[in-house]
Amino acid sequence: MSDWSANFRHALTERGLDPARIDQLDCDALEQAADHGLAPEQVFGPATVYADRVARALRCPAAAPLPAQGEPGCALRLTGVSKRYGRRQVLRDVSLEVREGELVAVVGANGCGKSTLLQICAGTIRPSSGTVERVAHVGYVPQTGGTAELLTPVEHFQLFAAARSDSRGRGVAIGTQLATSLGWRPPASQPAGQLSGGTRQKLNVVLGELSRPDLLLLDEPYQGFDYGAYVDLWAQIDRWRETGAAVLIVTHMLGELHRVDRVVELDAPKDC
Amino acid sequence: MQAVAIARATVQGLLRRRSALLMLVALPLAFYLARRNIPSSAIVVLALGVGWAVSTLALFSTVSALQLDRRLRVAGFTSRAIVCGRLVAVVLVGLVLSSVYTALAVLDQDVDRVGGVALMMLCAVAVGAPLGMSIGLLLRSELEGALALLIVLATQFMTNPERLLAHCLPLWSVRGVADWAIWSGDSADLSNGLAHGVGTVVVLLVIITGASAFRLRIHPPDRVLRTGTQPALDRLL
Repeated sequence: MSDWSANFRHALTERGLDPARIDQLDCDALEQAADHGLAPEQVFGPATVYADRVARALRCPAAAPLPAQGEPGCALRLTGVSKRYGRRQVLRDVSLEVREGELVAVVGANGCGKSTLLQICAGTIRPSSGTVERVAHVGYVPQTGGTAELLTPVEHFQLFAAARSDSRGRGVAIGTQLATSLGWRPPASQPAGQLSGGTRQKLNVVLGELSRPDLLLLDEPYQGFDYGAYVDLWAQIDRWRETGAAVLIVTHMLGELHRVDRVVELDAPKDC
Repeated sequence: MQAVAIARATVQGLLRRRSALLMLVALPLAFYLARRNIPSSAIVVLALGVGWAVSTLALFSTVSALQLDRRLRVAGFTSRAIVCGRLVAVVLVGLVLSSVYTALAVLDQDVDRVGGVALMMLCAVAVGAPLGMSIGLLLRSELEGALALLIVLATQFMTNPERLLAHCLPLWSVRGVADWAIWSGDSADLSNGLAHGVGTVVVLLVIITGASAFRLRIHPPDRVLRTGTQPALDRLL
């Protein structure tokens, strides 16, 4: 066993991962380094630092025991946000707050501005009035159009890793681990356009989480998921919360609302 | 690094569209074969065909990626990196295509100025790529964009090169360089053609810069909140 591998395993053990998972993570890291024809430290950097990143990416609660600092900080605050397209009022005076470690659900009738609200939070749409305050580092999982038809999942990981100046190898390593926690092993050569709807949606979710954001915006992320993937997603959301990430989710799954901290219901517009 | 990632992803995606690549190669070839019996004209339409193929490639690459590009902006990409990366990828593909067709023209025709033919192809690629991208960013739709490109380039083909209208169209630089390389040998024609090409590229880059800043804009929050955990974790990494 190489020094890097031994250090990596030791660091993961310290962070509370179970031995079987550590075996799998170590094996995956060595395989990926071998695929690139490089030593693991060249691809992933120092073993201890990489172990910490992996543990954080997996949102293991034991990965980064954080000092208690009183009241959790606010990750997103909307005050009196409205959106109007011409004469059509889509959102009217919406106010909400999501704190670190909280999960807030947005519900409402079809066409009543749930996705628009998330786009305003992400910054792709400007509200007609009201203020948006949020953390700088946001992960956004849109309902549609979040992936490229002709790129494989691994190529997606490499592309999105560049957003935060991560190396391609690191992006693939973290993306693969995140996919594994959704019960999915990304195929090596299958473009996203050839994946099933549910599998493609898993890719969509992994891309939103790839850069370990402080605030996750999920727009009906479970579309096409089978029951197992659906359960895995909620377990994943729980891990995000436990490590301090704030989550705002648009959902129609009213049966899962017992899992969330707060529910924000949007009013149906007059012409809806 | 971001621009390189976009360029790589664009080329990776394009290489998987084999039928589209085939059409891309076939378009200039079809123009060339239709005029092969008129040697000088054949090389001009070949270069215009390369410009048409490259601009179409740029148009479809731009429009099909718009939704993903907005997500990449949220993830942290700059609009400049996205546009530059995609433009570089299309130009690289165009240069490969133009090299092949320069070789075809030189081997199949009696060419006096090989460099002149290469320069025509270069003008076609250099103008075609930003032309397709600017139309894609302005119209945001494949059908409308393809029709707009058809109007511009078909008019370029049909208009008498001596008319003012021909001089106002984006690929006139190819004609200008062709005047020098194939017909007159007058260096003034070369200068006029190159000046037109450079001017057109500059105008198109200005359009691309403005349109991409608008289409790919991200509205910053009114106030950026700080989390209590992130600074400590960042120091670990």
